[in-house]
Amino acid sequence: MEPGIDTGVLVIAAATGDESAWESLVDRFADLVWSVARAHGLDHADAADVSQTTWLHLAEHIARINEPDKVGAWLITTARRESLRTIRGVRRHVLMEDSPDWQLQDPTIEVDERLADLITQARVRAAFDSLAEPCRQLLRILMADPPPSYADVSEALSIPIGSIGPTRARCLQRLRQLLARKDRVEMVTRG
Amino acid sequence: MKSIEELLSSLDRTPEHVVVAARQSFRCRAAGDQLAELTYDSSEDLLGLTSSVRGTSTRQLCFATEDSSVEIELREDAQLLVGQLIPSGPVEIELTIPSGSEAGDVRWRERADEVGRFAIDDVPAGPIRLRWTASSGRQVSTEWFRS
Repeated sequence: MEPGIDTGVLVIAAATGDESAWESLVDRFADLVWSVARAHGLDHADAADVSQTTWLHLAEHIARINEPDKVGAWLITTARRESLRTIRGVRRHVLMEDSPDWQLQDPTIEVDERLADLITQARVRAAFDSLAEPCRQLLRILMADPPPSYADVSEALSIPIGSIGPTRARCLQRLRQLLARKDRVEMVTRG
Repeated sequence: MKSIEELLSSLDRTPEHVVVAARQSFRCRAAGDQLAELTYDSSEDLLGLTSSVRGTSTRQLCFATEDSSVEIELREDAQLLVGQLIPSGPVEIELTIPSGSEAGDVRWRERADEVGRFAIDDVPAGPIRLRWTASSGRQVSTEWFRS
């Protein structure tokens, strides 16, 4: 990735056929698009299709993006629309368990350590899943690496830019409370 | 000790094959073709939703340019696509899927009948597009859509 180059410049270069500019855009926003699909509760297979369709749309429309520097917002909006289509009954993949994360991790990590990681991850995931929908979506989208700009998130989710930070803080606080509560429950059941 | 943000972000990274597909999307552009844009998708209106609740699970889509369009019905159970070209005519029509090569791979190619109808069995899952020659002689491609 070339973090120095302005997003709008990359979009304009890609529109003229510059494939390396396109690849920089993918590096910059692939995780954001994936996050949006996953924020809608799609499994890996459906999220992969939503992501591919979103990027195919961008490739087709890139010369006609009105505000090249806001392509992040355009991608969030498009990925949301494709996600909603999937939820409303475009052919779904046969439901399979997502491949467990540990299969993708370094096999040399000690088993104990990996198990401890898995337990922590499972607890965080369970707490995350019990957050209210708007919190889950916002946190999931802001989790993208690199994180999207607040301006893009504001535009795509129609929330005031000034409320993103406070809402995020409130959602994280709620998540911490959920995790703490689970800890107490576990101590009680163990005792 | 990791922060809660770090823990969350480590839960779900974008799989590599998804990033590869995103890179390849650039080569799948139908450069030079006229693009037929989505003008109707029954999965986006409430009527479409009702019919799927009743179990008929047929989805209608329409793609159009200024002077040419295609209406499509997707029947989920049979993975069947039935289409109607307007203006009608026995032109050759093809279905492509994305690939690393130029403009995607052709998965199906046939001639529409005299009134512009065609049917495709075993529609592949994932993004697809239709491509045909308009009466003006220009190649037309629909936007990518998912069956």
